[in-house]
Order: sequence, then structure tokens, then C-alpha cells
Amino acid sequence: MDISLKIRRFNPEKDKKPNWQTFKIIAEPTWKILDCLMHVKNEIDGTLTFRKSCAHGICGSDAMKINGKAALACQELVKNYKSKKFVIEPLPGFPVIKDLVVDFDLFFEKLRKVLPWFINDERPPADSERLQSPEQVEKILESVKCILCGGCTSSCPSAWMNADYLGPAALLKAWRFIGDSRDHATEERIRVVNDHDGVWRCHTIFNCVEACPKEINVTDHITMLRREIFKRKL
Amino acid sequence: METIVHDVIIVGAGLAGLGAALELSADPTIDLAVISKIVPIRSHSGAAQGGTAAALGNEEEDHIEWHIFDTVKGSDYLADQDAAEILASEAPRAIRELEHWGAPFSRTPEGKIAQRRFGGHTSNHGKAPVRRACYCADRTGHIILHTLFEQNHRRGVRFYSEFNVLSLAIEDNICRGVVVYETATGKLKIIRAKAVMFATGGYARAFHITSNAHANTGDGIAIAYRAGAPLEDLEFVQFHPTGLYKMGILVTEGARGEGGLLINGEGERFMERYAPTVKELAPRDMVTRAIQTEINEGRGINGDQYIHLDLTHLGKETLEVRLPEITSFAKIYMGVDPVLEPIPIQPTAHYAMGGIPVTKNCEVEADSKGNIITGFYAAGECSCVSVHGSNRLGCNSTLEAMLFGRRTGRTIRDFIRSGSQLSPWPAGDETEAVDMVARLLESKGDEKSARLRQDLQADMRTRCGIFRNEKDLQGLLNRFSEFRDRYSRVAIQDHGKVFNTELLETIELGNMIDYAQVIVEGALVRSESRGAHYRTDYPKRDDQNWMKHTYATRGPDGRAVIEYKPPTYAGYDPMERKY
Amino acid sequence: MEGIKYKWTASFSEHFRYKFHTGMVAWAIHRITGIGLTIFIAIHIWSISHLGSGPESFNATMALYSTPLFKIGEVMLFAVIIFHAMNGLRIIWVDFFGGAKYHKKLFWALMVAAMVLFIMGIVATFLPMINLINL
Repeated sequence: MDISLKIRRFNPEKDKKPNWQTFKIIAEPTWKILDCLMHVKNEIDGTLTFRKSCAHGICGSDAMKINGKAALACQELVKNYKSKKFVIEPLPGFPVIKDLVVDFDLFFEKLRKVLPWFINDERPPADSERLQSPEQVEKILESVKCILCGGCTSSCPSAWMNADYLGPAALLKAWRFIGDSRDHATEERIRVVNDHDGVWRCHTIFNCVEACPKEINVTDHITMLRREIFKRKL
Repeated sequence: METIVHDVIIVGAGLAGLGAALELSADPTIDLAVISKIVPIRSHSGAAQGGTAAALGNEEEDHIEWHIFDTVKGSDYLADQDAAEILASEAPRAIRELEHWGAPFSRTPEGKIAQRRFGGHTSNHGKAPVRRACYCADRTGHIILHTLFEQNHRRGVRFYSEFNVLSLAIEDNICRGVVVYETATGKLKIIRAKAVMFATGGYARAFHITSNAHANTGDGIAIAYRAGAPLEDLEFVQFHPTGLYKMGILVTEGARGEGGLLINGEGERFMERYAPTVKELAPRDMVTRAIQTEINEGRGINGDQYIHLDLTHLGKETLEVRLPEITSFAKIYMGVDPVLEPIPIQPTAHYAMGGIPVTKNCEVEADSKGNIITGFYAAGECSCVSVHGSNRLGCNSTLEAMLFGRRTGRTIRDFIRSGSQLSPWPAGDETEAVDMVARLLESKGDEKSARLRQDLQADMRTRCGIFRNEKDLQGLLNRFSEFRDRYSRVAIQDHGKVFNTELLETIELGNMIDYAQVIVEGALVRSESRGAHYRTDYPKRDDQNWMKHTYATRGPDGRAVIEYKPPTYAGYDPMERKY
Repeated sequence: MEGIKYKWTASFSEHFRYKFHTGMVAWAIHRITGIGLTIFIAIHIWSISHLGSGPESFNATMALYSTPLFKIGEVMLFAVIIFHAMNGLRIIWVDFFGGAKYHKKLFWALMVAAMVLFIMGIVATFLPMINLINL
């Protein structure tokens, strides 16, 4: 079928500002948006630049704004869109490096603030794993799915308006460890997220939930963090 | 050209690279850097789904010795048996340490790491399938990758993110460093080190219909080959039985481990004919050939090129808890809800059993005679110890990558501590990379790299795929001079310095052509069928003549010079591989 | 208070270029009605302040409020109050009682309640007027 791709281009070596370029191609209904972009790059304009790797929604490389919404290009199929006119832009809220490639430095910087690694410096059992019940693992199983694609933070109006806001992804990662029964750095992380630029900057707008390609309810986890904070205050 | 110096550089940030980095970063006196051509957290190790094997015995009786036996038999007796011993014996400790680092495995009611059945893993030398695969839903690779990355992140390990390695400098059998291309700026740099480790992953992107990421273009394998290192057993390419029809996207073996059935167009559970004891949980090469045979003989669904994976009897809850990822893949990409309908499946190019030959301690071998290249190491899918021989069992790769990756880290640490010297950079060695980049940027030819790539991939699938024969392989081998000629005429449109992905993809294509040729040459020379390599003109396993590894070195005319080396023996006599 | 930091990662217009979802619509209207209510309270305080200027001034202001234009304004004000109150309940539910899992259902349920209350309010406002006319 005939489709058109209106893509927001930017070549840092030639352009002063981003500009639009439209490509008209013939695509199969089962094509992903990623396939369409590759078709343009392979057959029409080799300079079209975007990140990609696994092409099936697990690595998170190809997060971009498709028809106004942050999503993974490899999970969006042409046939699922009524309008065959596609508007493709880089993720909002991230500095653009070139075309659809954006800079993730600030994103990872904020992630680091919540100590995104397992901390338990007690001596573990010698010949066994630390025990954890299925119910205890259940608490973090949803937050563990996160592939750090950036879609949530990119879609968050609070993050747009406050560059210091930790953002949904960092807060979700904070929960992954705070909610883990084996981790011991809960107090430190609570201190980090209990900040006006931490959980309190979330205004429950829910854009992150819509954007998440792994269908994680990020806002739910942020409110869970808030309830954890309340529990400690009372 | 800018030159950077480190003690150790690791190329690749998957399970093997990160495992090694973790060992090395424990010593703050070692100057370590990890180079990754994509953002490290996006490494393809994260796409592994089903599980990682260890004889923990958490759900039913299991023994390390059974695991060794299964691995050796699964390899069709080509694995180096002492390597298989190391793999299976160190596995329980490795998995438990992973858990100690916070990996969120699924759990049994008693709170231990949960385990599931997997193809080829049996109790008591093949009596019945055994629960040996430790898992987290069906995103095991993802959680292990993130756990290892997080621990490295905690230690502040230095990453060169989005840097492609273009060449490796080896002179007088000593490794001296690499030339890298910085994607963000287009600059080439020399990085010298006392020790270089390749953990660059697999090469299945050389085949049309693959489970592999676009990044899996076997760069490390090709670069090592061009630098003079041999490549071992490259002809053994694993085609995973269950990939989504036409798309190649992986549907984990764990689906069959949970009870999924393979059904042909006649509604028959055909695996009962091919592997009466374990049926769907036979080793992957056998299941793949079974599926492809059914398809070739017209018993695909509606006579088409696919069969069904039936999970409808598992129930909504099992699918949601144990197989959520593949449930979502089936829904998103095929419009099929596995709770209600079977999933269309066809074999997909998946894993490279072969690779850069290494010793048990992961030092790269210079030849088939036991010499090593000083300061050069490899682990993970890009290496060949050989643990998997001619066919890999599921869940053994995530295990191998992590375990041997860490082993490499320890080997390198001892090497550095023993007072190793930084060897001088061979003058002008960087010219090769500089010239290659310049030539591609300036080329005014008429060939498009995408067209050439698709051509190569299609032919590799048809003529060097699941069922091979001499005529097809020879015909394909003859095409390589044509491929190379066309490659020399590839012109790219992007001449920029910033994020020139078109240039990088074209360089990757060059790597693909190099190692694809070695795969074909190995397949042509090996006149037997063993494991994943099946020749319709030599359908039997020939232990008399072919119980040996192939070592391919690049000859002066561009063709591979092949030598041989028998696998090490540790008590497992070759048997007929029946399940 | 300390200087307000104007550090944005995207321009304000991004709000209009991004696809609207229920959650974002609810939040946007909550913000707008919040501003509306603030303006109303300011006007209300100003008008009540006329009490200090004696009965004629106050009665004149109150007479102004009985005119049709202002009656419609009252209806709109009521809509604003009802929305803000109902969505406010939703926000409390999301924050304290795990409503994030079903926030959309919560939104529509409360909007239905809001509509019911709104209609009741309209009736209560205009019924006496209708009776007065009939008498």
C-alpha cells in the first residue's frame, strides 16, 4: 500500500535548524515503521539516520515519536494505523544529534542519581542463592521489564518543563530496587526520590504509561514510591 | 591519529564482555575500558529469553555430571569435553553469584531459583527431560544483562559507547590494540592495550530470516580473521526451530519447556516420530531438521512454509507469568493470541557455535597446534572453546558467555599482574582502516550496500542453510568473487562525520562477506553431517574421518586454509544421537 | 522564595504537538480549571468586599449577578468546580489508594458522577426561577 513518511530531519553538519522531509513509499501492511525507515535509507536516501538493533522490542534502540506519540519503531505496524500518513520525529525532550538520533546523557545522569544497582554488602549464603518468595519477586517483576528506551521520560510534560525532574524511568528504577526484598539501600534511595524534583514533580499525567512499549504502569510505581514515603513519615 | 592507552580493552558489552569487566574492575590498579558499538544496555544478550542452565536441583534431582553428558551428547560429540566439564561444574556457583548480585530470577514456592525444562537437558543421561534452566519469566537474558551492567556501572567502569572497532593489530603473535571509529564524530582512533578481549557476539545476520539483531554482523570474527587469527568450526550455524514465520523473531524454547507442542499441517504432533523419548525437547538441530523436513515434504500448515507451535493448552495464567514476552510478540507481530490460537513458526538462523578458537582460559589460539596469540582473548558467542561442538543446547550460551567471560577476566587479570608489557604499535597498522573508510566515503560506484547484503543473506539461507549439499555450496562459494567485486563498487550517499550509520553498515557488510565465505568453505570441506551441519549428500556422522574441529586461516589468495584438531576427550565415548 | 529556574527540555508548544491521552486531558483541564477557580475567588473576594461600602453598593453588585449573562457564568463556574472536585478525588485516589492501575475507568466514572451533580445543580439553580415565572 502507498504510505507517506514525513520525517523531521536534522544534519548537524549542514542544517541550522531541523526541517521536514516527506518520502512516499509502497509498504506491506505487516511492515513495522522500522522496516519503512530502512526501506527509505536503503533505497532512497542513505543519509537518513536512526538507531536500531534487535528489531523486536527488547533492546529499546529505536524509540521515537510516531504520529505524536513516543513508541518503538519496531513495534508499530503499518496496518495498525488508520491514516497511512506517518509523522516521524525524534523523541521530544532530548537534544537531537542527527535526524532521529538523540542524546541520552541527561537521561542516564538522572538514572545514576537513584543508585541503579543492587546493593547488599552482607555476606551471601555460601552454597545457595538468597531466598526470596514468589510474592516478593512479584513486587518488582513489572519494573524489571524496563528496557531504558526513554519513551516515558520523553513523553512526560513535567520532564519537559523541569530539566531537573528525575523522570519516570529513574523513578521506576528506584522502585525496582526499593521494592526488592534483598536490597539494603532503601533509605538512601528514598532520600533521593523524596525530593521536589523526585516523586513530587509527578503530576499523574500518565503519558509515561501510554508511551511504555513494555506496558509497564510507570505512574503506578511512582505513586507506590509516594506511599512508601508516607509509610515512613507516619 | 589520536592514540589512547589502557591496560585492558574489552570489545563488546554483552554477557561475556560485562562478565570479564566485572572481574577486572575488582582490581582498581587495572586500567580497563569496554568498547561497544551500540549503547551497552542494548546488547543482544538482552534478547535471550528462555533461561540459563545450571544443575542446581532446585525443582527436581539433577547432577553436574548429567549436565556434562547432555552438553557433550548435544554437541554431537564435537565439544571439547574438558571445556564442557568446566561449564557444567562452575555453573551452579556462577548462577548463584549472579543472584547475589541481584538478578531477579523467578522463584519456587520455597524461595529458590525456579528452573524449567529445556531441549536436550535430561536426567540420567537421556532418560527424561530435567528442570535445569534457571529463568525469569521469558526475559532471562534481559535481567542478566541488566544485572551485570548495573554492577559494572556501580564500579564506575569506563565505557566507550558507540565506537566501532575497525581493525586489530597483531604482530609477531602479540596483540597490540585496535583502531576504532567514533560514531559521534567520525574520528578514527588507535587504542593500545596490553590485553584485548573480543566479546563481539554472533554472526547470524548473514542469513535471511534470523533472530539476531542488526548489530550481530560478526565484526569481531571477521576482524580477527583478517588480523591472522584462525576461525574454528564456523560451518556450525544453529537454526533455532521456533522463529515467528517470515520475521525470524525468536520464540523461546522455554515455550516447549512449559509444554508447548509442534503440530504440522495434518494436525500431527510430528516430533513423536523424530525423537520418541523427549519429543519437542530434543536438541535444536534435530527439531529444526524435523520441522524443515515436514515443510519440505508438503506437510506445512496449508502446505505453506510454516508449522504451528501450540500453547493453547497451557492456560492464560501460565502464559502471562512464564511466557509474557513471546505472548506479546505473537500478538503484536502475528496478530495471534497464543491463549486461543497456535503460533506460525519456522526455523530461524540463531547462533554461531564456531568462532575465534580459545583455550580453556580463553586465550586466543594462533593455530591448531596449541600456540596462542599473546594478549588476545575472546569469550561468548564470538569464541569457540569449544563447549558446544556442532550443536548448542538451549540455555548453555547465556551460561557460557557469563561464565567464560568471567574466566577471561581472571585470566587477563593474572596476565596483567604477572608484569605484562605494553607492546609498541606496529607502524602504519592503522592505514588499513583509514584507507577502508576513505575508499568507502569516496566511492562513486553503482552498487547499493543494502542490495548486496540482501542478496548475500538470501543465498546463504538457501544454499548454506539447514540442508546443504556440495553443488549448492560450491556454487555459493564461487559467487564470493562476485560479491567482493560488487562490494568494491558500493557507493554511499552519506559523507558526513556525525553518526554516519550508512558508512558503518557498509563496513559491517564487508565483515559479513569475509566470515560468510569461511562458513561456506567449512561447510563444503566437511563431508559428513554432524549436529547443526547437515549434508544431504553425506547424511551420516563420520567419526572415523571427521571427529575433528576445523581451523580456518586466511590464505594469500583470500581462500581459507583449513587445518584440523580433534576434540579433547574426558571419558564420554561417542554414541548415536537418539532421543 | 528562591529564583525560579526556567530550565526546560522541550518548548511549551510540545504540549500541543504530543498526542492527547485521557490522563493528559484530565491534567490539562485540572490546571485550567484551577486557574479559573483562582480567578473566581479573586472576583468573589472583590465583590464581597463591597459589603464594606454599604448596602446600596453591595445590592447593586448582587443585582448584576442576577442577570442572565452572569447566570450562565454561574453554570460554567459550577462545571469548573465539579470537574476540579471530581478529578481532585481521582488524584487523591491515584495517590493514596493505588488508582493508577485503573485511572481511566476512574476518570470516566467520576465524570459521569460529575455530570449527574452538574445537572442537579442546574436544576437547583433554575428551578426557583422557573417557579417564579410561573407564579
